[in-house]
Amino acid sequence: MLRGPDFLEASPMELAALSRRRRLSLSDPELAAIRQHFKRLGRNPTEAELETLAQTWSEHCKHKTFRGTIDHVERDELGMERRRRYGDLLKETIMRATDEIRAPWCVSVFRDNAGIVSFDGRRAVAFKVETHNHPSALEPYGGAGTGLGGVIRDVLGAGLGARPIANTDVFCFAPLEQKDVPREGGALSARRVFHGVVSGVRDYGNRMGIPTVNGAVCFDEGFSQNPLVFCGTAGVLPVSAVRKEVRPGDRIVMVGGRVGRDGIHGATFSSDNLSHGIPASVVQIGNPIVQKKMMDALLQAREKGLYRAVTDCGAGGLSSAVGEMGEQSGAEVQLEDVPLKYEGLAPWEIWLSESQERMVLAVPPQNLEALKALFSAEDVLCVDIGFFRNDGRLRVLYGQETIVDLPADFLHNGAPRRHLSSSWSPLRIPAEWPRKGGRARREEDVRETLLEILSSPTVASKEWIVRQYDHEVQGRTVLKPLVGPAGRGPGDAAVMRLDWETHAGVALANGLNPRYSRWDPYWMAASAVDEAVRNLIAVGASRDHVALLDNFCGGNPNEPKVLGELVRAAQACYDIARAYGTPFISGKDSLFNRFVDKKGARKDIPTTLLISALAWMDDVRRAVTMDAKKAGDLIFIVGLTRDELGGSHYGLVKNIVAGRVPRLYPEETAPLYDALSEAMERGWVTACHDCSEGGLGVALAEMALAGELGIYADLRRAPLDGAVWDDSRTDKALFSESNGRFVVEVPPRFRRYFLSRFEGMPAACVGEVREGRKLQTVGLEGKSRAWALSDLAAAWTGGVRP
Amino acid sequence: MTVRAVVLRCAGTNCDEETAAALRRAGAEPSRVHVNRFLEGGRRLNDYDLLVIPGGFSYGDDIASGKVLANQLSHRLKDQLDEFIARRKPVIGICNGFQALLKGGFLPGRAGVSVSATLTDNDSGKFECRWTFLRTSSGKCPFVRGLPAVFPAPVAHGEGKFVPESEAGLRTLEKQGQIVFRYVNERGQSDGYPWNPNGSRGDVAGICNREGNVLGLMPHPERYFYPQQHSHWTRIRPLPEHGVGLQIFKNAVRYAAQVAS
Amino acid sequence: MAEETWRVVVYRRPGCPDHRGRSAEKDWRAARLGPLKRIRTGQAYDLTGSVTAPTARALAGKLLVDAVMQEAEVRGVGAGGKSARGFCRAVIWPRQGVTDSVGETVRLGARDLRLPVPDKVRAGALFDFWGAAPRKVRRFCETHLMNDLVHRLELEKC
Repeated sequence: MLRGPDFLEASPMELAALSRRRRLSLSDPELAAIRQHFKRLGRNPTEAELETLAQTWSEHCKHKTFRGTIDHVERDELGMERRRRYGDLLKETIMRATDEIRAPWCVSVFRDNAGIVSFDGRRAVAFKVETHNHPSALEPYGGAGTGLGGVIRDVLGAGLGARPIANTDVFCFAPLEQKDVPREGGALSARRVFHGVVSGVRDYGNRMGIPTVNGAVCFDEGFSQNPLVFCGTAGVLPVSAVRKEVRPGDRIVMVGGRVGRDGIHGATFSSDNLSHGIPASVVQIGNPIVQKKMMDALLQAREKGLYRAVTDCGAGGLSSAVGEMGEQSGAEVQLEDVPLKYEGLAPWEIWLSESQERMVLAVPPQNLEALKALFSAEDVLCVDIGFFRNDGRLRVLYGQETIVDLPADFLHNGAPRRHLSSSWSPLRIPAEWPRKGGRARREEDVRETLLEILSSPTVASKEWIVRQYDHEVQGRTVLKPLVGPAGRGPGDAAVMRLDWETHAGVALANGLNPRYSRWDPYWMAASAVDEAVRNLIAVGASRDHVALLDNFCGGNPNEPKVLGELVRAAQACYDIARAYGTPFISGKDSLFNRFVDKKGARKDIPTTLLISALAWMDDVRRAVTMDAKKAGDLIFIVGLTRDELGGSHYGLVKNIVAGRVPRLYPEETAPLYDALSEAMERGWVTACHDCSEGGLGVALAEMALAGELGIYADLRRAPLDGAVWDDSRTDKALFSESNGRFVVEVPPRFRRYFLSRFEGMPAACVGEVREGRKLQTVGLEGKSRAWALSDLAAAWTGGVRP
Repeated sequence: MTVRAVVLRCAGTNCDEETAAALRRAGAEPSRVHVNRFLEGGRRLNDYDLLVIPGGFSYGDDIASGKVLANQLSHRLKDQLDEFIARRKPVIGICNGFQALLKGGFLPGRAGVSVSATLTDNDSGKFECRWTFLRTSSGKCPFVRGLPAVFPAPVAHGEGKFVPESEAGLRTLEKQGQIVFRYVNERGQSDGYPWNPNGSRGDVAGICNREGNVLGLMPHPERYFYPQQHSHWTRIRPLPEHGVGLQIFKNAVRYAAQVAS
Repeated sequence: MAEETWRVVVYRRPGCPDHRGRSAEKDWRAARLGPLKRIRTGQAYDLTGSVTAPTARALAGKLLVDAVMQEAEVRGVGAGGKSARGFCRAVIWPRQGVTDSVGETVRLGARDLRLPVPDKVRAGALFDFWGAAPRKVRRFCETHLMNDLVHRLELEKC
């Protein structure tokens, strides 16, 4: 029973103090709702009940912000206001796009641990991407590794269990040379965080035998002390194994690892700032072999039909897993049977422990012995800890003592909804680039600039990182993360074959550009969606079989300005997904990524949206890579280049904050992508690379470097917006980061067909692939510039040093 | 006759599924069997015609790659494995499997004899996932029949550096025709890193025992048994029908059939 | 039998490459911590309960040491009396309650070898420093080699 002040008689102030002392992160309305419930019962909550409610109602588990009521106001440059009330932001943006698109191949979306799609009615693909930011800031190796472990378990808990076939990892770090910021609560230097995260994810993924096939590493000052670690996993399962159900009387079985004090307060912890005195129990180190063994046993048990439902034991441990599964039925759990790592755990700690590498199953009683025998044969713990009830009550006992007795309905739906305010208005950023004495850029500047951009950390080659990750285990990786004869080129998307019987498969890609948030989080989000989609198009997928995942990361949502950015980004997600017909199937958010330094100055991360995308491919043998293939082939630029230097890497390396941020015009890009997909389907395309950071300049350089061939491109022939053309500025043509563009290699004999398919659309032949190892361009002012491949390579591979 | 192949797995084995798929395509009937089944006595190695120990992170690579599995083979399955090998049945150890056979004393010498070589940390100090080329060195080993003199192959390991106890030991292996594969560049020449991805002495990528029926190699043939697994297959016209790795498995299956009859 | 702990320390033979050692030396120099001759790395295993010296030595020889690349020292912990060394030894252990999968694997390995299985095995990362000031060694370990949240540093008197 609860020690200290009587909960029922305590004042709101005393309750708030209690919440702070015990690190419950419960708000005043939440504490009041709890008190009201127990007042009706006429008793105080137990320690375990309080902790259970705090965990279940935590931001991490409940996404109170994204599902709360938000009053949003936007002001534009003229001071005009627009107001809108969202009753449930997630439902009215992300989920609404999916509802309206009504894609028949969405099998299970926003319901299960991962989104599940099926394009052939026989095989289903589960996909989930998540972050593990706060633990990675404290203990990079363990935090990042367990982050990957967690998302793998989400896929293992999708349907009756999907077999993981691919990992994707996207990391956002502070620049490595950044001087050590004064340490706060155990936060570490940028370089240590970087190495720890890269190693942690590598070791976990390699040991699980899941290939890491796609990803990115992004550097920005905004991520000081707040690294973003996005880990994603895709898995396959038969369509018949997608449905899961819990029946009263089914046994509750926990499998996998033992339980310790790991992560006590992990879920609620992520709602606090990183600050002094974090209790050591928060940090977890994973054991991937335990999880691998568990996975091996689980998939066998699935094939034998031994259980009816499964979920992962993640944030909030058994409380969360059993609570979710038993949401309708209720459950009764005996904690004394749970195997422990060491003695001395209080019952509530066993209940809420976030010890890794565990799953919970609903098992028909008659299958229990067979299940135990199967797990025992693989040396995996398998323990019966209770049963699912039929009256909606959640009861947890330790021996004879009842430590939790709550109605499941109150636990899951009793949290009062949050009501928040948000606002957004654009920063005043000059639309025009500053000029040096009114003269156009000199020839040398453009030459030098391309090399500067290539060597900037986000753009630079990450080959030495990628090669530490096994990207071929399981033998399904048809398009690998590094392409070209020497494996130098960064692949746009990975392509995985589903099995060895057919040639069908999936393509996986990501889109991310947090820099744009400073200009406008709406266009940041739109660009992220577009980047993910065009990466898929670039390898030969088509727009009509694409599923999206969203991962929002932001600062403190209680600040209206921060929340306003998230709202605007969510709105763009709806608009673009709807315009493209690409539904969202799952997502996550990680908020409160902020850090208060010793002087009391607050640093929020830039609002960052990662869009992960998956596309079906009928035949992986038609996949196309980005390396230039053959001298004599033509080079086309597809898509319009606009005067959009805002947020560009060009601005970054020149330290200029100006220009218009790239927008997106789906009415232009959608038919363009369809035309390109068709051209690729017909075999007219031998190489294709999308344009992102660094625009055309970087795309051309990367294609040449990857293919170890020369490229000649006359930019005067490229599809350019009038503003770019009139200005005659080569830097705008080369480094603008307009969305919706590709560099495409087409054999001369297909030129006519290609051009005719793109009739009326921005697409033009600008040059060709050549022998000779240099990239040569002709600028808008008619000047010729050339870069030796060796110079480009030196800049590009020197950008991020181990 | 159907060649019954066993793909031995344990805690942390990763590459068993695709190894079984490659064996199936090579004409064998593969079974993935956990080492516990043999340790408990429920199954016997000699129920099978061909043994493959696939890649992975057995026991997490804890202590050293393949060491724990090596001890299980050399202390608890010694008799069974000695008999299997003495009967000239084919054994292939791939990557982690090679490490286990080597550290268990089954390569390059007979089981029980003290190890005269090891596989240790790559010179780069990092896990290396990349493609290289192999030159086929030894004619005695039945696994190399019909292989091109130089062919591409993928590696993915952190502890792949082959180190014999002494230079003399390496020369003995060469003289006895036990060096089966060496790392080379596309022209078939020894060329340092990254063509030799780990710094192996003598560019050794794979060895066999004196009788030639036990092969250990660090590269992964099961990661190149169909053409779209090749590192840059989109540049290759025409594409071959199979990856070169399949030939190694086909040779093993043919050899196992011969021995069985 | 009293709870004895035997420590097996494993490191590279002289002349065998030690990447982690070279990498640590590079980090030391980048951190400008003053003079340093060299750093040798390895592993330390503390074996407790049902362990005698012969058991520890057998485990070392058959399981913990690579015969070609490594050598080992075996001694009782708390035996007192350090031999003159000339170097500073640091071991970084996982904290109590933090996953120590290597320790568990050692126990599994002992079982396979039909040796007495220690009740508890802890595995730690070993760093031997030559020619460095003890104060700087501690600082280097704390800032570069360990995270106080999950590791515990044991620094032997230099």
